[in-house]
Amino acid sequence: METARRELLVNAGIDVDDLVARCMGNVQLAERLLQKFSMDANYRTLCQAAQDKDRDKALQAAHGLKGVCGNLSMTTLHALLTEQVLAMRSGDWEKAEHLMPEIVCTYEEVTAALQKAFS
Amino acid sequence: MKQKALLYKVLLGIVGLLFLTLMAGWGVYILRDALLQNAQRMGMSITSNFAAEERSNFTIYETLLSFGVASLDDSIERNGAGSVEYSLGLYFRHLQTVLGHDSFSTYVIRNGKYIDAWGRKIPEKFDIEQREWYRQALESPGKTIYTDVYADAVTGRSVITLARRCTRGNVVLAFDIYPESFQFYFKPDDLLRGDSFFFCDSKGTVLYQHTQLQKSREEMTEYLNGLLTKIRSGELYPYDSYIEDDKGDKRVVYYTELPNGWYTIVTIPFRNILGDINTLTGFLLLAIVALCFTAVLLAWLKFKDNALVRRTNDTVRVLGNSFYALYRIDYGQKTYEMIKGSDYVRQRLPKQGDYNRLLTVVEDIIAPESSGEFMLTFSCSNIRKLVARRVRDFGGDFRRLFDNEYRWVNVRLLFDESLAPEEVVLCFRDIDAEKKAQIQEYELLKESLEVARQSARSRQNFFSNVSHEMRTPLNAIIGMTELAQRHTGDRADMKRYLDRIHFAGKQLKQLIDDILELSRMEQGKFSLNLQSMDLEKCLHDSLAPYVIQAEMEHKTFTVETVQTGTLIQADPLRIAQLLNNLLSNAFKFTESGDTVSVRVDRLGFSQNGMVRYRIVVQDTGKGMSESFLSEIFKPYMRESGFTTRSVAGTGLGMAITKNLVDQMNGEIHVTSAPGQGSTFSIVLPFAVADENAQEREGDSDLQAGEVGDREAGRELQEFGEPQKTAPVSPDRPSRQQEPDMSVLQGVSVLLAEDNPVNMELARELLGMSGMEVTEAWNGREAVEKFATSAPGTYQIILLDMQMPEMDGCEAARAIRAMKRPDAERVPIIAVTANAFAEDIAATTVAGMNAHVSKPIDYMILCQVLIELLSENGKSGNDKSE
Repeated sequence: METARRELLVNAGIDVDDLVARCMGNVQLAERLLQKFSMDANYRTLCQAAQDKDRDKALQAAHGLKGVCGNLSMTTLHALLTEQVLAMRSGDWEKAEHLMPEIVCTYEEVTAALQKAFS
Repeated sequence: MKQKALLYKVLLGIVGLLFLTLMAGWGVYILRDALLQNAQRMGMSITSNFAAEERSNFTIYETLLSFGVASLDDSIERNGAGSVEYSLGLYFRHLQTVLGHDSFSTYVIRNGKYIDAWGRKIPEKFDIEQREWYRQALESPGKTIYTDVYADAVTGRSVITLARRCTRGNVVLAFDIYPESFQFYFKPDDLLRGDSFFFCDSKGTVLYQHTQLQKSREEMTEYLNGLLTKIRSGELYPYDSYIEDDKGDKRVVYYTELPNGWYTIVTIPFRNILGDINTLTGFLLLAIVALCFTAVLLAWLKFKDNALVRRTNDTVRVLGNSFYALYRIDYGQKTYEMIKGSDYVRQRLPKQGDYNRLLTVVEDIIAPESSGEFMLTFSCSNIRKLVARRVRDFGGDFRRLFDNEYRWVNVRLLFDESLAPEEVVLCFRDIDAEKKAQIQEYELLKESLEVARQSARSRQNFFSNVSHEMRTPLNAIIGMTELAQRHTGDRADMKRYLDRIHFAGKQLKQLIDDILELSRMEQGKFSLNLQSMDLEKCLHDSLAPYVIQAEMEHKTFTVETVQTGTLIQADPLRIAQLLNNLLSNAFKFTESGDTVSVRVDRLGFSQNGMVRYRIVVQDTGKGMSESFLSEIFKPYMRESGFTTRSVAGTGLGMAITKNLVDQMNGEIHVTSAPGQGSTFSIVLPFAVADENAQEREGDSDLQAGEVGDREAGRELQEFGEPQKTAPVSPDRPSRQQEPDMSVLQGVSVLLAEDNPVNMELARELLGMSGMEVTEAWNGREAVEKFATSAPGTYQIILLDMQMPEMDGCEAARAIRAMKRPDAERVPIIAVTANAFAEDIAATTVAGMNAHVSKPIDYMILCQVLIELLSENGKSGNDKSE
């Protein structure tokens, strides 16, 4: 992977080495998967559900997004979503809602980095 | 079908009823016809009799007239025409003698001149030539001419004239007869009430009547004239013809015409003729209506009854369908009747036969563990005993062979008084799914109960132990404080007591620290403070105190480090804590002269770039029992032998150690045997802090690392004595052994995942191992693909837990519920981003074999796949054997 791209991704909280290792060293696969990240609908669903106070849908979307982030080694976003899913499952919706701004911020940061890295 | 049959029955009933009605109607019609014909014969006979009676009167008149004509002819011949008047007078007197004075008058017309026997004068205008009867008499000598009733020109009375021409001279002799002269001698029985009799001339002028009709003479004439018109037209000839009288009553008309054109007429009301038949018809109609009503009522009752029977039958059929085999057993005759049989039995036995033969056939397919009991329980003699005890429902579950596969079956022996004497019903139902679920539920409950009991026991032990352990230092503190108070003057004693108090206080603090630490870990409040550190220096610092302790306790303490020269990212305090826990244990359970050794190896780099170290702490102390080894990492667990010794500890050290290793993504194994010491092996991965150093050593270390990875497990096993190994975690496979990836080559996997990124990653990873991946984008699609595939197409199924339409658990349940040979056996793995206990329990309940967590770890995934494929292969072989 190009150094500049790698740096952009690492700075956005993506553990590139871990992702490449997960892809069994297949950098092209890793890059392909990263480029598909922004197409995942879970983030938009989560935001909408949070706004609509639709807890079931929010939990499903957060759970789905967490899985994708985990697989793409987006460590920061994954950690935030893990915390949010934990909060949702334990019924602490207040905490889950408080986490939303940070999740949105981190998500935007990640997608911006991805856009820049693959533009 | 039954509804059609019922409809046919109803239609048949209606047709039968119609036929009966028609037959009755036809009978009535025939009877009516016969009655009318008889009535006509009788009526005609009556009118004929009346006519005959009247003809005899006419014969008298005609005879008298002939006598008169003969007398006149004789007188004219002998005395000339002038003697007519004399002869007429003589004749008239003779007639008066015979007929009476007022019943008639007679006269002669000679050459158109009127000569009256009474001497009456006729009006001047009277012209005899205009009279029809006179002309007819002149034209027909010797023939008697009759007139209808007319008004006499002389008297004005109604008369009837009979006339006859004499043979000599132009002389016509005539009688005028009054209608009152016509009398009939009725027999009252001949006519009933309401019947009418009329005697009339050809114009309908009534000569005689016997009727209840109230009419004037003119009205009667008109009435009769109408009748005569119909009679002459033949309209009233048919026996069933009739007229309607003024009251609207129907009347039949019978008549006889006399030679002179007069008529005798009898009219009889229908009711007089058909009175009986009308009553009969009424009764018949009433009977038919009653019959119809009864038939409809019966049909309705039957329909209702049939509907009820049909509903009952439907219900019984549905109930019966839940059984795959139903037999009626006559335990007296020792025979069976097969109401419904399985394919297997139907191919081997007839519909009815010897019950013992049935038992023998069934015995062949019952699992060996149940066949003996089955034969004994369902023997005729035992059935007899059960019935004698009034046991109405008896049975149990057993496994039965279906197409090379054993399935759970429930058998019931049912007895009821409604059955024939000495008869029972034997039925078999497939309960495989519910039985397995029941067994699984039972196992889960049993396991949960055991876990709960174990946990309760552990906590009880823990509290008991903690209180004991806390009491020890507290007692020491209290005791030493009392001693210090007594020896306040002796500074040396005072210092010794304070030292002991200090030591006991530290011991107590350690105990509390351990409890708090474990509590924090259990609550997930634990975190690592990663920093660049030199592992060798950290080891040196951590191990130094134990060198001194070994010297003091006269134990041998050796430290060996191999290739540790790398800066790593780690939490030095936690590493020190780990070593401290392991070494304090080793020193705690060794005696003077024993050896405690520490060996640290660098295993190289793993594929994700982490450098892995193995730390082995070995002692020659008292060791641990095999049973305790499996419990050593559970919180609150302490081997009973430990507490008998005067060693400090909470039983939490190993639980904390295991938690620490897990948090560092490491692995820990322990081997031990009583009296042979213990060996704790820890493998920890660390990120390399000095990137240059990693690159410097890159290629060679990476190669060595891979070898090291592959051999890590073996090295852990081989280090020390070959003793029992405690499992690290039951649900997390060890990554110490590199799996044999060739096993996955060509394996067909059904992968259900709704997220495109996750799907692509999983597909690529599985593809790299040579697996053939079939994608399904939700649980339902996965179930459908599995259902439509040939058995054995998929060797393994991966299901994401959260999917639209059908989630992983639902899909797993649906697959397991399918009736196909591989539905039960095909390994199903849950892929989940949740590692919550309830999620994992749900996958087990749904019939899944294992779960892997997201993010996907390729090695773990492969290892799980290989293990399950291997187990399934064995299980398949076992089953095939």
